Amino acid sequence: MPSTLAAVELNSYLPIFIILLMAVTFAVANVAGSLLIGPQRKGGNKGIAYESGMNPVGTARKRFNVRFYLIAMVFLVFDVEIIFLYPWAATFPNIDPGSPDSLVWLGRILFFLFTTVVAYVYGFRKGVFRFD
Amino acid sequence: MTLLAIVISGFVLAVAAPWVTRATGKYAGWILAALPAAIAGYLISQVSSVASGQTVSVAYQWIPGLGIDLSFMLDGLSLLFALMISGIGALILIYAGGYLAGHPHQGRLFCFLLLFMGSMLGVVLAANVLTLFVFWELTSITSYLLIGFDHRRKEARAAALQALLVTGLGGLAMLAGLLLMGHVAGSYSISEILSRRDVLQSHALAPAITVLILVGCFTKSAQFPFHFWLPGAMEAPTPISAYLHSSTMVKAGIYLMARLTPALGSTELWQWLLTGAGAATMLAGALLAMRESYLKRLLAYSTVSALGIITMGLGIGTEKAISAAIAFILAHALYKGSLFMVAGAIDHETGEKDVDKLSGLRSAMPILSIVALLAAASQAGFPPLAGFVAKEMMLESALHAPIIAVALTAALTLSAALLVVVAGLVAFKPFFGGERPTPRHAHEPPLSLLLGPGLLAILGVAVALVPGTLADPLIAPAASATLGTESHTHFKIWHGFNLALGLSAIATGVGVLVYATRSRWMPLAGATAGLDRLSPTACYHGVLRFVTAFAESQTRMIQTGRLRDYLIVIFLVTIGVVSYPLITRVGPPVWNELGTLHWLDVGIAVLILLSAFAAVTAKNRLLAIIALGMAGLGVTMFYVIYAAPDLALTQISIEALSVVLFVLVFRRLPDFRSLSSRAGKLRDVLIACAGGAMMAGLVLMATSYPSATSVSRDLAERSYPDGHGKNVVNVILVDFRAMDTMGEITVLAIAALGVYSLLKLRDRIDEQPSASAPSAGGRA
Amino acid sequence: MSEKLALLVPEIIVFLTTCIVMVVGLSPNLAVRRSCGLLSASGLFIAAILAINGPAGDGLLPGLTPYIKAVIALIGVLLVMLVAGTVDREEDARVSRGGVFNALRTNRAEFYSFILFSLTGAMLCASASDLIWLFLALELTSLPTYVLVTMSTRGTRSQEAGVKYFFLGALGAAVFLYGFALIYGGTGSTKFVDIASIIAQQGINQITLAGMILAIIGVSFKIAAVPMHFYTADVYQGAASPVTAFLAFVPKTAGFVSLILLLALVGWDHGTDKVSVGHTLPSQLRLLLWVMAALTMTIGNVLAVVQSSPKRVLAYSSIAHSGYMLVGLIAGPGDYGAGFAHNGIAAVLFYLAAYGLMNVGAFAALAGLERRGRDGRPVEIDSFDDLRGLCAGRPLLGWTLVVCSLSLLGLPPLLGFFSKLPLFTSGIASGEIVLVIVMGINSAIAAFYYLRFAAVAMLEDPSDGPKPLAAPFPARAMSGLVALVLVISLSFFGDALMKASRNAAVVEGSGVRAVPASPSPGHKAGDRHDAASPAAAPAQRVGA
Repeated sequence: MPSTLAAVELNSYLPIFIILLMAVTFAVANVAGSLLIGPQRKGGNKGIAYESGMNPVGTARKRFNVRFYLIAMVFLVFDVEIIFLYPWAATFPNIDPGSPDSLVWLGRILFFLFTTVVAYVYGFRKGVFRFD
Repeated sequence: MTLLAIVISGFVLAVAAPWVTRATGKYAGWILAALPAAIAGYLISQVSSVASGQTVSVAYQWIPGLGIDLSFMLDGLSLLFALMISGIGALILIYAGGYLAGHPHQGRLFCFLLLFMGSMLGVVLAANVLTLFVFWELTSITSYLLIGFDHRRKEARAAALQALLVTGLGGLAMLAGLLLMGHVAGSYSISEILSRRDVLQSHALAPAITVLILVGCFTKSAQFPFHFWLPGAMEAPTPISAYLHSSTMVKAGIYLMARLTPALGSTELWQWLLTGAGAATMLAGALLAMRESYLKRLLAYSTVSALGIITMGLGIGTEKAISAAIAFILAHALYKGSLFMVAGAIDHETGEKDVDKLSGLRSAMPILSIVALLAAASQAGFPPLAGFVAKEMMLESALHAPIIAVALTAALTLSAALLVVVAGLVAFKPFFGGERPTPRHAHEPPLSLLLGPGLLAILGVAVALVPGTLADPLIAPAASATLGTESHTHFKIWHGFNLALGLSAIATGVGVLVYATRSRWMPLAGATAGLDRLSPTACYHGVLRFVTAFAESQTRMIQTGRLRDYLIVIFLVTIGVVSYPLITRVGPPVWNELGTLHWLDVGIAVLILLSAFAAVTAKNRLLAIIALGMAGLGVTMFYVIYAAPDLALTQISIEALSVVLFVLVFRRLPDFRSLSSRAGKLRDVLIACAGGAMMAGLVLMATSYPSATSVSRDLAERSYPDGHGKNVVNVILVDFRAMDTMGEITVLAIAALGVYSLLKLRDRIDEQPSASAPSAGGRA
Repeated sequence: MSEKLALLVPEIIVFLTTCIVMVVGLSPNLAVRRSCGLLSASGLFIAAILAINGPAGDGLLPGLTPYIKAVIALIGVLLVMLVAGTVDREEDARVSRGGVFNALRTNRAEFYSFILFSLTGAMLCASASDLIWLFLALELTSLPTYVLVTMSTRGTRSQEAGVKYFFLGALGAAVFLYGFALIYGGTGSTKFVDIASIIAQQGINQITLAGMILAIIGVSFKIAAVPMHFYTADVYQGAASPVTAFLAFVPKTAGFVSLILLLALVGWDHGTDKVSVGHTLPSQLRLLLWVMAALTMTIGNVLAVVQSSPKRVLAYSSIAHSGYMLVGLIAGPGDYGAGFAHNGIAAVLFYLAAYGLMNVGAFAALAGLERRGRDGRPVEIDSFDDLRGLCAGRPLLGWTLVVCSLSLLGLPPLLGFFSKLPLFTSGIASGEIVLVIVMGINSAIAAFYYLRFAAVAMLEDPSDGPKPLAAPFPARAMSGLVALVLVISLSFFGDALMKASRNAAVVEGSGVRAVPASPSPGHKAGDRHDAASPAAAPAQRVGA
């Protein structure tokens, strides 16, 4: 029983597999084709990262300031906040404004926003946004 | 009210004692003694009403939730003990004032002594077994402080600890017994318990209760084989030995045995335990005393012996025996307290503790020598002294004991003879014979050191001479309380010519003879030293060593500090504990519900197994990660076969992401190193297999128990109308469980970010080897 | 919904305090920063008062909620006093010498907020009425402690401790989460009330049983019981003394509350008919808890005997205390309306409060002393020699140590005795005589090492050489003093607390054998929860 079901279901995914196949074939064919047919020149300007524009300075493994990490974390706070705000915003209009529940809902999101603000103030105090 | 005040006042005064001492200097002992003297006065005023059968009782709430209240009662038994405690307490405080005159910590000593007195009064007046236990343990702890009073000496500290451990452990056993008894009797009130004798004795727990409580009593009252702490406790200054270790604290066990006799007594177990332990203690104490030559240790062993006699009397349990035991308690308290104080006075005035080096002090301290002779004669059982009467009564009752009367009588006679020797050594030898030089020039001790022993010794005579006024009103009610019925035995000197008198005469004669020829016997006593390896003291040290050694080996074995060892235990326990009920309750899994196996299933299963094996055995991290990914892909295949391609797609992406994460993390780690032995690996393999088996069992079990409600149908029904999607899994992922999905993605993102920054950090540490490790919130 | 919010007011207060502390702790002004401790303590104190006057919970043990919250918050106040000066000592010194304030080098905000977070988590455990809630609350209790361990002292030892603590903690969390999942799988609900009613109707099935077993093993990490006790000594020693005191109390309380809530799901469900106590626990769980209790107290006590570091002694002894408390869990709440002495749950709840106090006192004495390290920095004392003659030298710390260690030993008439006694009596009442005897023997072993504290501090003379200095934080000594006063006064006036714990330990019916509406002896004092009684709530599936 399950396996027949699987067979039926799998049929509907056939187009996806075909597309995947085409994509892979296309990519492989292009790379292989250029390798086979294209001219092969080495050295000189061919070796630099960008044939036009600025020459790169230093190594790619350069350290960068750890503050970027902090910035990213703070950004994530924003990000997660949005995640919670969306469903809240989608649900809130459906709640009867007269019911006590609505106040609770509003209070909840305000409380949540408050914690976010605290996180920001904390970050600010900690000097995350200071670049000197 | 007065009873509560009696108990509390000791504690209150104890707190004030250091200041009183500082303020009044050398009169502190006399002033502080006013309180116990007043208590004794009050108790004496109650004698006649108690003798007429009235009991005074009060009760105040303390901790009602636990059935503990501050309830006290005064009946014949309590009165006798309370009177001894307060009366001797007063004398001891005066004595201590003289004995430790000028000692920098005299105030502390008074404080401890008064604390002890309050606790001891609490023990004998308590009308609730738990309250009694509280005070009982307080006497243990104050005794610890008192024995360790001279805390600069290592021996004193060790003796204090030994006494506390022995009596404290006994106390715990007793607590268990008391709790069981309260549980069976349904109350912790002593009068209630005493009235439920039938319930208690017919209960299945009765033997356990008896044994546990008796262990507590035996340790406290230095009964064989717990007697060894008492001679050790002689490290304490003499006032303490005289008070705690002759007349009061060691009698607490006796008191409790007497107190509980109406409830637990006269069973066969009780009789045998008490008479057996009593007789053994009596003999052991008397014999061991023969090996000692230090005054206080001699007295300590003779105390052990006397305590044995009292216990034996209680064990015999006849009306006569109980009365004899009570009489012996009184007589012993009088003469032994006196003898201890005499010994202390000798030591205080001459600086010499060794009997062998003391001789001819009679001329230097005539009064003390008379006091000593009086007290010692009482111990030796010469008429007309209290000790004589008590000994007669005891011999008489031993002759009529319900069990092993002959053996008990013989043992008692022998002990009595040996006690005569001890009495001679303590009170005759130092005072008579030729004078010998002592470290300090000998002279008569001051009044404070003479009052206590003198008064007690005189009382020893008076009690025997006017028993109707002094002894009977105390002894008869106490014996009645112990018996639970009226006692008719009287305390009188002359019982006529009978077998007991003859035995007594023989004992005295033998004792005098042995004393006179003691130089011949001494080598014999020394020869028993070989038995010391088997003695309870050796056992005590053996137990201490064992506990330490056991703990050390356990520490080495269990607490290795290696996380891996901890994990092994945790996993093993978890597997065992979870599997046990599965195996015992479920039985083998139900195969027929699992349906048929397709060859594809088998193939994929083999693939997963192979990948898992490869992951475990891989020499290279990358290889291991890839093999792990393979196993994950195998699982995905199952999803595909069982009609869940969406789940499969999710799984594939998660697998891919985790492999990427793994690679990111592990890329920079050093290569695998083999740290475990072959056996260790084998063990790990077995544990892993067992864990896998447990999980498989759980899964099988879960499939055979469909949960009460299934969420899948509901979700499938709601999928289109609510989520506008026909694919249930997709709808679940992006609609019903959207938050979870989002959270998961976020977590993965944060993790990736964290890993990346850690890798960066690693670069930095590589560049700056001296950089300190990051601390949270720091410049990580 | 708003009732649930009303239930959470104390937690919300603590959380708001956390938010304030997090910001205030980073103020450029040193004096403002130093107010962190005071702020935290005041927040906790307010929360405690609100909890005492707050509503009863909506779980199976409604009275448990306010009681545990109040206990956690009040002892939390003492713990906050105790941790004074654990972090930022050098930074403060540098700043007060005129150095420039650097927000990245101060840890005060994080430290205090983590402490408050952990306390919030423990309080939330007491409010839990749902498996998921319980899991989140337990993790909120534990996660901050992993960081606290690491940041409390410098050096590799605390880092090792932190890592060990974290790994084993994660393992424990995984185990009990899996257990929770199996409980859900076996009953189809995550709500305590529903689970209990399903189990009461249908009996416990194997998958629920396996889930319970895993949950108990996992939670044993929090209470430092066998088999998850291993970390205790390493972690407790690695952390600074005040933090160790915190670890010994807060996660343990959260763990015991969780165990009580979990066991109430499957056992102790007795109506007015006098079911024999404790036998309502499935025999497997009873056996598991029995073995855990016996091993935990024995291992804890035996290993404590040979330790040379006072902190390690206290660490191992904290394992032993968990073992004692497990006895109360096995005994269960006793017959319906059983008094305090026969109610094992009440005994555990009372013991938790008492242990918290004694623990604070003992650690306050250790934390009140310090030495100069080789580099001139202050280091903690870590040997019994440093405690010698403490009563003479520093009477407050010395007597606090003596009284609290004797009380921990269970010596009458101190609080420890009165808290251990109901464990004995309830154990006897439930027929666990052997276990009670094991406990008695263990109390005897405990005498070996607790007396050492008392003897060293009281009887011995100070050692030669430099004496330990007083740590320059009066708040630490103050917390010790408060603990001392409470330990002594509760020894004589502890009845109110016993009554409170007795009322907290009333197990409501699970909805099948509904609790009669008429007031029964069980909840005389805690009648506030009548409306919130979960009685007659039909089995209801938790929506997605």
